[in-house]
Amino acid sequence: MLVYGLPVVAAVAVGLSAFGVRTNQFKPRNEMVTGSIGEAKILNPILSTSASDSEVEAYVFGSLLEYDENLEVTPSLAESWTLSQETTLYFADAAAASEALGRVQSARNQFPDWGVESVASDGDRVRVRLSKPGSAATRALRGVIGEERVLPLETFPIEFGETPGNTRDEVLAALLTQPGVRKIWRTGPSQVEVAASGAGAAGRVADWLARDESPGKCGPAETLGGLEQPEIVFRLRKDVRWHDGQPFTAADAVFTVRMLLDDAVASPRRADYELIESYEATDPYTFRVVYRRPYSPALLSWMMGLLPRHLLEGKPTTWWAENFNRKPIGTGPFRFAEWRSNEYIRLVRNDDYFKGRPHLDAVNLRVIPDQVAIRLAFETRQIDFWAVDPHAVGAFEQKPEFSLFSGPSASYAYLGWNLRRPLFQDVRVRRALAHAVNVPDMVRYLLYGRGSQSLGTFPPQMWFANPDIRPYAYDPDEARRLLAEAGWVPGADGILARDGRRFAFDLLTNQANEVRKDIATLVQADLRKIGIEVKVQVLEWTVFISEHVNKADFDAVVLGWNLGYDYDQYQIWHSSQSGPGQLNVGGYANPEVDRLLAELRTEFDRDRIATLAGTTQRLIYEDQPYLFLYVPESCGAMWRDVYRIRRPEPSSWKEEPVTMTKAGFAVHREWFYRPDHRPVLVP
Amino acid sequence: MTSFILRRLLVSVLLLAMVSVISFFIVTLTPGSPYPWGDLNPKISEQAKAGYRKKFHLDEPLPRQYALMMRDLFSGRLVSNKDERPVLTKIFERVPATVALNALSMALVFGFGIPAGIWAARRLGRWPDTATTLAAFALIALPGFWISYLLVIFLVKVAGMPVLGLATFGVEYSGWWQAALDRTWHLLVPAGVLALGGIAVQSRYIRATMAETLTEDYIRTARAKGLSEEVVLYTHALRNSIRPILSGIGLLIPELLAGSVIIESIFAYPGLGRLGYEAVMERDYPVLVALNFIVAALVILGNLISDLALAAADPRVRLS
Repeated sequence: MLVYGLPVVAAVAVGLSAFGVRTNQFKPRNEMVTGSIGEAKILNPILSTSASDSEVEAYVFGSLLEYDENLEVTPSLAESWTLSQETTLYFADAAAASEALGRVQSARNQFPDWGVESVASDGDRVRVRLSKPGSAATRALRGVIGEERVLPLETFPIEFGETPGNTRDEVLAALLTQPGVRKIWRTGPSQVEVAASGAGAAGRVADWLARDESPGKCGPAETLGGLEQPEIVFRLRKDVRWHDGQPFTAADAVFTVRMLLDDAVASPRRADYELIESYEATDPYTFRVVYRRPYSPALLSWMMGLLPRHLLEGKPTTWWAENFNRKPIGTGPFRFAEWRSNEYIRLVRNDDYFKGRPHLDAVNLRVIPDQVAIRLAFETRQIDFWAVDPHAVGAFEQKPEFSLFSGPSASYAYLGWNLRRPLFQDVRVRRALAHAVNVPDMVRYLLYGRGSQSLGTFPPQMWFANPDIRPYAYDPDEARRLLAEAGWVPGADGILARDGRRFAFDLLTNQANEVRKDIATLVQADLRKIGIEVKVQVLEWTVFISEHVNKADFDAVVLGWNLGYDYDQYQIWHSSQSGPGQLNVGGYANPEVDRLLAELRTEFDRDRIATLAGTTQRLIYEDQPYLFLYVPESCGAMWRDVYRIRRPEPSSWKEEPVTMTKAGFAVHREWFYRPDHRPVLVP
Repeated sequence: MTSFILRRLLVSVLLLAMVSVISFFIVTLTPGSPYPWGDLNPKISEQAKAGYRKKFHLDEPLPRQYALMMRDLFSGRLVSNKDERPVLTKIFERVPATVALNALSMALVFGFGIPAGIWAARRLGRWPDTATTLAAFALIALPGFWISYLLVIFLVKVAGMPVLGLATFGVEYSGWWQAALDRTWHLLVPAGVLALGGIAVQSRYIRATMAETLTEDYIRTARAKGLSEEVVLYTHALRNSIRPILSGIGLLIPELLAGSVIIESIFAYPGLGRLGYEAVMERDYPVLVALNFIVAALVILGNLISDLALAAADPRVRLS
C-alpha cells in the first residue's frame, strides 16, 4: 500500500505541526511589529522615492531639520540655522554704483525692517548683505536707488548637447569675457545657466554664440532685479555618532549634497538641490549653503537623510546597492539589523542616539502584500498597527479593544477640466458644475464619512491654507441659473444646448481605482439631473496618462494629488507649465495667480507666505479649473494601550497616550514604549 | 545518441536566443514608465529623469539596450532598474523558499492525486467515483484565491493559527523543535492550497488511464494467473497508467521555480512569483528578461531530459 504512504505522512505532518504551533507560548517582547502592503526597495535617502522606503529611513537616518508633530520645521542634526542673503545690483559703471551706494547707506537707517547688515560697492556693482532672504528688500532697494539706474539681470540656460567637454570649456571661458556676463553656473552635464546684466543681454549673448558658430543654444531668458543669493548656515550638533561609532560632521552633509548632484548617482531628488551655487563645511560643525536665487521651499529639502562619507566615498553606486542600500548606517534612533526580502526588515535600538535612548528594543517592519491578510494579521495581534480602509473604520470604532486615529491626509481628489476646450472656458459654467455635483454625498457613500469637501489646492491642516474659503454648496437650481446665464438652455432631449451644441463630454479615469470609478458614476448621475450628458471612459493607467493626460487629449478627468506639505505649487498651476507632459494638465492660466506663484517661491517670511498662499488658493478656487472634490482622512488603528509615548523634555519626561497629530498618529516612534515594559529612565 | 544531444543543444541555443529577443521586446514595448517614482510626480525634474535613463541605458536605441542587457546577463553584472542589486542575486535569494514550496506542493499533487485516481478507477460508476469526480470538478472550478481566503480566515479567526510568512514572527525565541514544527506548518498550508487544483487534475488523468488499463487483456491474464490484487494494481496496471505522467517529468523542473502570485501574496510567502509580479508592475526590465530567460532555459532542459528518459524507459522510442 505504498501509494497511500504520502497522504498518511502528510496528515501526520499537518497534525503534528498544527499541535506545535497551537501550543507554542510566545513571551511578550519589548518590540514593535508593523505591517505594510508595499516593501522598501532602497534604504538610501538620496535614491529612494517610495513611502515604504521613507518609513524605514525615518528610523535609521537623521537629517539636519525635521518636522515635529505639528508639521513645524525643527532642528535635528543641526542645532540651529540662520538664513541671510547677499543681493548684488549691477550698474552701468563704477560711478553709478558708488552713487547708489550712497543712497542705500543714507536710507538703510530709516528702514530697519529691510534687515540690511552691510553695503559695499565693488566696481560697477553694489553688494548688500541682508539678514532676511527674499525679494522684498531688493524691490525696496531698487526703489531707493531709482529703478532706471539699476541694470536688469537676465538669466537664461545654454544647452550644449553632445559637444565635447574641452570645446565647451573654451566657449564658456570666452563667454565670461563678454560685456555684461556676470555669472555662469553649471546646471548639468551639458547645460549651463548664465546671468548677464543690461536690457537685452540675453539676446546679445545669443547673437554672439550664433556668430561664433559655437555649439551652444540659448534658452528663454528671465529678467530679475538683481542677483539675489540666499545663504543658509547650519550649526551642527557635536554629540552625534554614526551607528558604526564614527563622529558625524559637516563633511557628511557636504558629501551627501555632492552625491545628490552627481550625474553617476542620478538621484531622483536632485531637483531640490539644483539651485545650489556652493556648499561647504566652514568648520567641522558648520555647514554653509549658497543658492543661485531665492527659493524658499529649499529649506524643506534639508529634511533629507544624510549619508556617511567615511563609508561611501569613492565607491560606485553598484557597490552601494548590496553594501549600503540593503544595510544602511545612519544616525537615527534605530540601527539596521536584518532585511529578508518580501518578509521583514528588523531594526534594533540605537543606545547611542543623540536625543536619548529609545524605549523599544527593536522595530520589525513586516511585508504583508494582501489586504485581507494584513487585516487578519492586525486582528490577531501579529502586527500592532493597521492603516484602516474607510469601509472598515466603523467596525473598529465600536470595539473598545482598539484605538482609532484619523485626520485629514495631504491629498485630494478632483475633476480636472480641460480649459482648452470651449465647453469649459466660461467660469460660470465651471462654477455651475461645482454647484451641481453633490460632494457631501460622495464623502458619505464613498468614504463612509471619512473625509471633507476639498476647499482648493492646499490641505486644510496646513498653516498656509486659507481658512476663510466657503465651499460651493450642492445647489442644482443655482447651477441651472448659472448655466442659463452662460447661454445653456434645455433642448428637446432634455440636454442643455447652446448655439445648437449639446452639453455633453467624456469623463476619463483609470482602471484599478474603484473609488475613482465610483466618483465618475456619481458625477454622471448628478450632472444628468441638470441636463448635462457625461460619458465615462475607464482606461488602463499608462494609456490614460501617456495618451490622454500628458497630451491634453481629454474633456475632463478624475484624478487626485498627494502633494505633501509644500506651499510651492508652481508646477501645478503656473501657465508656463501646461506643455505636453507637464503638470498643469488642464491648461489653467491666470496672470494674477502666475505672479503670486512666482512670488511665493521667493518669499521667506512666514506671514507673507500665508497671505500669498491663501490668496492663491482663493483665486484658484474661485476660478474652478478643477472641481475640487474631497480630502480623504487617513485612518489608523492600534490595539488599545499597547503603546504610550514618553518624550524627553529638557529636564524630565512627558508622558502621554498615542494621539493623532498633524503629522500622523505614529510619528517619532523612538519615544513609544509598551506599558508592559516600563522604560528605563535615563534622560 | 551523442549527435542527437549535440543537435538538440544547438537548437536550444537558437531557441533561447529567440526567446530572449521576444521577451525583451514584449517587456520593453509594454506601455508604462520604468521610473520608480511613477507618473505625475512634481518633485522629479527632467534632469533627474534623464540621469535615470542614462544610468540604466534606457536612453539607448532598443537593439543596443538588448545587446547591453545580454552582455550584462552573461557576465553576471545585470542589475535591477529599481534597486541596482544584481538580478541573479535577487532571483537566487528566493530559490530555496520557492523550491521548497513547489516541491512539497508537487509531492502532494502526486501523493494525493494518484491514490485518488486509482481509488475512483477501481469503483468506476459507483458512488466513490461520482464523489471524487464531483470533488475534482469543484476544485478545478473554484478559484484558488477564494479557497485560500476561506482557509486563511478559518485558520486565523476560528482556529487561531498563524499562517503568514515563512514562520510565526518571533518563533526563533522558542525551542528548536517548536521552530521546526512552526516552519513545517507555514510550508504545509500554502503548499496544500497550491496543490488542490493539481490533485484534482492528476486524479482525473490517473482515473482515465487506469480505468482503460484495467480492461486490458494482460490484466485479466494477471488476475487469472492468481496474482494478488495488490500486485495486479500497483505492479501491472499502475506502471502502464502513469507513463504519460512520467514522460512529462522533465517539465516539472521549471514548475519548481514557477511561483504563484496569488498564493504567495495571500500567505505573504517570499517566492519568485512575487518577484516577477512586482517586476511587471514596476517595469523592472532586467529582472523580467532574466526571469524569462532562466525559465525558458529550464523548460528546454526539461524537454531534453524527458526525451532522454523516455528513450531509456521505452525501447520503442529511438533517438535519431
